[in-house]
Amino acid sequence: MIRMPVVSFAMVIIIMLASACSRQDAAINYDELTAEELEILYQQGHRNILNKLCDAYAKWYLERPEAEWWLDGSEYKREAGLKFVDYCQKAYSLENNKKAADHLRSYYLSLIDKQPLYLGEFIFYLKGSENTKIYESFVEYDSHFVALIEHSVMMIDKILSMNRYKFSDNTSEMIALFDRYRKDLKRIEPNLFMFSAEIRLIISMFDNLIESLGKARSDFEMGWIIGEFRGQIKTVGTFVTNISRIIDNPESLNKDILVKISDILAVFKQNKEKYFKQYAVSFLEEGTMK
Amino acid sequence: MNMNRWIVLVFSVVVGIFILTIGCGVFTIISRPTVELDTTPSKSVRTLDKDSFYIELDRHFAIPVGFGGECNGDFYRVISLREDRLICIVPGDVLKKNQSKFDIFNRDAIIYKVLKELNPAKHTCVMLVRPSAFEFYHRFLKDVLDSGFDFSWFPLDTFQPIVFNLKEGRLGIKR
Repeated sequence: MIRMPVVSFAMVIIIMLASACSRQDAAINYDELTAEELEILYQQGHRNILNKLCDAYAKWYLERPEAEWWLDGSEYKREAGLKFVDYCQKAYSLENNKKAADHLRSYYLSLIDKQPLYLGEFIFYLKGSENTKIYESFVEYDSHFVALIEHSVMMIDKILSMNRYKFSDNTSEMIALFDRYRKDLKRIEPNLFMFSAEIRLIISMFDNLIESLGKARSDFEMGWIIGEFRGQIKTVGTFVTNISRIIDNPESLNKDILVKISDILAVFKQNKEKYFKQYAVSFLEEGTMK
Repeated sequence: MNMNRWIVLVFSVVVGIFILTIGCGVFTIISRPTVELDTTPSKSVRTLDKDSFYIELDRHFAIPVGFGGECNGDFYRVISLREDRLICIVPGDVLKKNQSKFDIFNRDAIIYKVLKELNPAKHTCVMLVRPSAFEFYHRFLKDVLDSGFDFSWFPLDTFQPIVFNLKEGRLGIKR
């Protein structure tokens, strides 16, 4: 009973200390800090903010208007990019942060067009990304698109190699074939991921081709229309062909990445071959031309 | 008199340093490895041979790949997306787990057991050397030569996988 006041006093002191400490933590609102400020805290030992740091650098690097970067200089942007990749790679490998994988997936996708070998990194982070729908779209619909482009180029080459004076004998078969491509393209368009920029243009190219073939008055004109189309689809499909070539011959990818994504490449390739065969059995094949 | 002593002392020191320098130089020349890396590997290295045993050298690790066109499934992940192509990669975790087994400075390393099982009269060693292994290459090569094996080598980039082109019967690595 005599010690009661002492114990109460000690309790009050402990509670005050605890609340003071918690207030100090609560005083830092991480969401209001810039990427560089978060980085200072991280380097001072706040290791628990790695995910926030990755997120802040990713948003800063990926979403900042180019004009603002221009004012600060390209070297500054390059440094921010390196830090973004470094912190997000750490966040993904140490804490399996799927959002970090998502940021890196977007980043590598933006590089693939000019440097197709980043396909490996893109697929690796696609696999770890929180958005599983994108992964499904890639292996299912993008593979279909690649098969369709490769098959259409092959068939057009075959058509052009046949006797030029017999185009009109096969007009309905040719239009049916191109129409099937067009319908399939329209069907897969909403779900396409990687080649969503190319598909719209290719659909309109098939629209024009079918319309022009329907109006063509001579075999010569048909040959010219198909030849023009062949040139266009090969140009527009260059990116598709490059990606497909890497998937078929992945030995040029980074071995440490390749070993982790070979299963996805195998699924993509299987799907591509499956769709390619579907076209092969359904339409004009060698020997069936009139 | 004192002056003369100093001159003799300084002269002796200079002569001593001179002799030591020459001696070290000669010693260095003698102790240099007798086998040097050619600047370019011979073209025949690319051709797959059932009697050639492939060894991957990465840092101070020697990993037995297998005979031409084969990959040791115990350590390598074999990727075959095309029938005619075999890609062999040691996953990072496998390398980490088996570091002492691959270490060329460990006399019980797997590679020395493999070399003992091979026949120098019949088999040759082909070393696939990554840049990080150049420093250790001669050290390991000495063991291979001491075991009586003929050898050849092929450079691999740091992140390049090992590729066997089975259709053309050659190492499918582009240089």
